[in-house]
Amino acid sequence: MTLLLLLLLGGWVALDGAALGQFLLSRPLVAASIAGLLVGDPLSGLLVGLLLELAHLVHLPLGGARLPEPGPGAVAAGAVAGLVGGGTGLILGFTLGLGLGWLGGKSVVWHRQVTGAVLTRAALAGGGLQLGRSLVGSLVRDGLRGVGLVGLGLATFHAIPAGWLVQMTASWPMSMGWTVLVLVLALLPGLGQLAHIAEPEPRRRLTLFMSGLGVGAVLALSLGAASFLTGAG
Amino acid sequence: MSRATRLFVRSFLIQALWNPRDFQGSGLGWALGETPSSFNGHPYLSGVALGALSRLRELDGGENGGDLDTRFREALRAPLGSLGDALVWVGLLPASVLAACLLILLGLPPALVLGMLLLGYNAVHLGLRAWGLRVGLTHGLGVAGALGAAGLQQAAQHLRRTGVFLAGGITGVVLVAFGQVVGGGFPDFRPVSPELLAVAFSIPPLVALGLLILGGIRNVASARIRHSIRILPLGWALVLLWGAWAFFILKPKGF
Repeated sequence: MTLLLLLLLGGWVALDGAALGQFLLSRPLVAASIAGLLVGDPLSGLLVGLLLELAHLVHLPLGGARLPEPGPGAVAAGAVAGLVGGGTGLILGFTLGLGLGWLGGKSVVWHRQVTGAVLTRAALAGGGLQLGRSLVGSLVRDGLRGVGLVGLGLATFHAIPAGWLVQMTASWPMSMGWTVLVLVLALLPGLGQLAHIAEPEPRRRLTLFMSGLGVGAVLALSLGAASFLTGAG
Repeated sequence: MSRATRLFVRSFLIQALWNPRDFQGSGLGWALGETPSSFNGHPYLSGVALGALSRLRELDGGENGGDLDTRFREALRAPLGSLGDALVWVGLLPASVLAACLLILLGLPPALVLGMLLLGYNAVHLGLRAWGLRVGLTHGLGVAGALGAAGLQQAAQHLRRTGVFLAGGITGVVLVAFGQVVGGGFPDFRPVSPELLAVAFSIPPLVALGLLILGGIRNVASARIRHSIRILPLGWALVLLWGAWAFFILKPKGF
């Protein structure tokens, strides 16, 4: 039942990415959290979603750019992180999410080329375009694409020998909190890039970024940001 | 179902037939119930095009594929695309998601934060779609003036700057958290070997911090590479100072 729900979530998230509504469900933070909840470990899902979100946030869909598709990969990542647990689960989920995101981006291009070919064939056949039927076909293909990506991710995870997982979990030197911190630190350059895109004027960008940094540091010191991460051990 | 309601509902599927031949044109054609022609724009502002083209059909010479229709589509394409990109993809989306990440890192209940994120973002999203359709249906060929008067460019600028501020906020929280845990240590911290720990803990954050300085303040990948090279020694000096503080002064447990 959980597997079916994860696959359906993958299909829904793939549709939400562009074809149907774009309600933010396909963002890694949301998709991975739901997947983590489905496998019984929402915290691991949330944390791997946060990491994938920071990794993908800089990929802005501007001017028809070809980008990774984070949604279905985040579903598989959230599920794997939840199933394995701890820092090992986060690393495995994060790696899988990034790989599937890249593959998802490629499959979006393929899907759109197929949609174009279907529409061209229908137009050449004459008798008027049956756009409604083409639209349903496109939605079904897109949804199945998401299901396939999640299925591929989960199958890849299940292909890892159980002994390897045990060994990885035993030898991974960092707790979940440490793993999150080190990965978030490694992802911070993406935020710098995002800031560069969002505010082209260097002096204002620096002022805003450093003001935010100061406020964030003060809030973290007063609210104890580290306690949240140390709690995620 | 009224025309406005039908167009509003169909606007959510405007990208379902996106293809390299006519982009959103087939989706737009399906929504309007007519033969598709090439079109592209931001999906959240697709209501503007749907409403305006629907109004255009009521005018003499405004038939689908006619000269007026073609010129109007061409004129609408660039402003809808660039305005939507600036407002949503560079403004609203990063600002909303970064705010959620920041609140989660600060320890607010994740379910509450995710609920607020989905509700808040989609309130703006749905409002923008409904507003766009109303503007299109009301102003028809004169949508450019209505778009300009709505202050969306200013809103986009505020949102983009909020995003930069929040990116800084997350960086501040993470750096403080890292300093605190390096100083305090984790209870379940399992040292393996000093070499592995050195790689795991020092190299990634140090490289990340250096790249952050270069990426956030100067664009490494642009023609400004000479400036980046000039700032490189300063960035690395700061990074090494920070690393020395973290690892030698704070002396993390288990090291």
